Amino acid sequence: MAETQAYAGIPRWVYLPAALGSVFVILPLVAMISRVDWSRFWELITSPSSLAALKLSLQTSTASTILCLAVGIPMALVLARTRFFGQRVLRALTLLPLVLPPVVGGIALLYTFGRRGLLGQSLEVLGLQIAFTTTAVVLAQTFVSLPYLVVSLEGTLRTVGHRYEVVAATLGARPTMVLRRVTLPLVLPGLLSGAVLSFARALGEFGATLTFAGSLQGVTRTLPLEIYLQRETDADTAVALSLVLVAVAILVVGLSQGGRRSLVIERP
Amino acid sequence: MTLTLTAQIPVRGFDVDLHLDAGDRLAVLGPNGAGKSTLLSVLAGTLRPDRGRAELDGELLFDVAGRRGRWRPPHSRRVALLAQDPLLFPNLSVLDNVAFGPRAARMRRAVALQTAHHWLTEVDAASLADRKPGQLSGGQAQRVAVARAVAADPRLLLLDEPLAALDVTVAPLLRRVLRDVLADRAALIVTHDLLDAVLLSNRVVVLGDGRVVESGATAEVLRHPTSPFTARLAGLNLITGTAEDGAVRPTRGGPVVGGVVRTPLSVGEPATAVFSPTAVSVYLSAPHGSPRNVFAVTITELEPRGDQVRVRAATAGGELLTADVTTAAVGELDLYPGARAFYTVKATTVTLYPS
Repeated sequence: MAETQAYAGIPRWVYLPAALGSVFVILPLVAMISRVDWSRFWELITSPSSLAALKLSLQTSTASTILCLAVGIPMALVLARTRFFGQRVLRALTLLPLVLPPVVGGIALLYTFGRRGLLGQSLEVLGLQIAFTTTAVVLAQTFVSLPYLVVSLEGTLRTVGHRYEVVAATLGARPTMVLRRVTLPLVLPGLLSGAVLSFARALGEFGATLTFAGSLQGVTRTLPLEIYLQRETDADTAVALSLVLVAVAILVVGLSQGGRRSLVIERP
Repeated sequence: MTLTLTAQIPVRGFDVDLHLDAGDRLAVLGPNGAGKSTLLSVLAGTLRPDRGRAELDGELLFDVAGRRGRWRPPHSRRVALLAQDPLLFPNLSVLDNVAFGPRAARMRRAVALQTAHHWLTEVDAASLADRKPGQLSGGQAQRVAVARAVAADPRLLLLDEPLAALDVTVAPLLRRVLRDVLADRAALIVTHDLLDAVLLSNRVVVLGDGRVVESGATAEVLRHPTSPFTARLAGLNLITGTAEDGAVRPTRGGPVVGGVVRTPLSVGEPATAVFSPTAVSVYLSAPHGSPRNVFAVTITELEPRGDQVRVRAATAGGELLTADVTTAAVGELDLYPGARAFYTVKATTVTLYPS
């Protein structure tokens, strides 16, 4: 459907820095793609170490997204719908990983779940070791990607507002029914984009994973770690795998955009 | 159905006592900020008063004093809310929207849908059952919202200006629907519209600054208002002051207003003089003789109403008065906002009563 051109009302000079910015983001991708050795591309990305890293990345990112949803939805609900003493401080602290260097997050996790960590010692007694395992990868990814889901969902909850929920309650619906049949369907677009954002963030996670989980092939060496490792020895593999990561990212974002559009309510 | 309510929220200056008997449909009138929404929220259970107690059909809604007390959450009150916006759940079909209340009451799905269908038919919307709310017009959506509210079988129905968002061409149909649906149901209707109050309610309370300033049978309150707000709403002129012998001395100053005493008045007690705009004659110079009340006014607004013009004016003391005159008279007298004139009212058309 052709859209009629509405008056934009922005100064003409704005287009120049805007174009520069776009080029700045797109050009490195082009540069990278231009360096791909297409004759060996398939062979490079299907090597055992590449496949192991790709598989591990997809598995851990999916697991961490599920974990994010399980605790992130309740967190967003509490932050958006209730008021209590210290709430602002709590929000700021839980969103801290957004601005924290991931390597610092990794160190923090190490001192929590590591062998001599805050919880690690007790876990050790139970025979559980978390640091430098696949579980550690999932925890590191969840640590950095959880705020993305919480921020996105909390914003949507506030925009949608409280009024539908009040009506549902006065119709006799208990809070759990209101959540299931009214709130969650209303915020589904925000929930979806939040989940996609945190999946993408988990997929790209590097610093916290390396610090907290190490780099063990097939166990903790995710795709970004594999790329970093290969960059030293085999630049062609690094470039090829980078392209795979870009492709996966584009796929995920594209899927969520398509899903979002279908949720728009049609008006006659 | 009986409802008793007493609730106080000091920070909002809210302090209201209410009582509804079986079959009462209560219109709640009042200027913006008078506490109408607060009253609805307190009854619906979305706002907890600092102190108060309410009982619906002998069942306790709340009994609170500060942080202590008993408080029934909104979902177990059986008090349904119909807001100005229909607020239909956009993800559910019209039928599922109406079936929401019955489903919440743990009714079996088939029975719930049957109930929903019944109420959709009652509001003339059965043909819309399969649509999504986004595909409805404003009037259709509000009719479905009415069906959804009554399908939940509430003991008390709260209506928050249910017709305010509708344009004048569809309001009459919804008004008829509401009249039918409310016929044997307890309801509390917040409205700005005199017509809604007259058609939908049998009793009225008028709120002002968080308190009940007037209450009684709808027809009676509108015929003999004692608050300026109600008088304006009913389109009547009202002057408050203290009683003298067969007259009221206005609080805002100006000459005493003579009239007919309706109920015994003792000199010195607060009293109100009420007269209709149709009883007012407009002159450019002060008339003499005859037992008339004369007010020197400045015209503020001219409002055409059919073949009449409502002329609004203010006295030097700030008393707002209206007069209904013919369009021809407006032309002859050359009335315009800012013009000075004299309003005269025969004492026999002024009613005096205690306020």
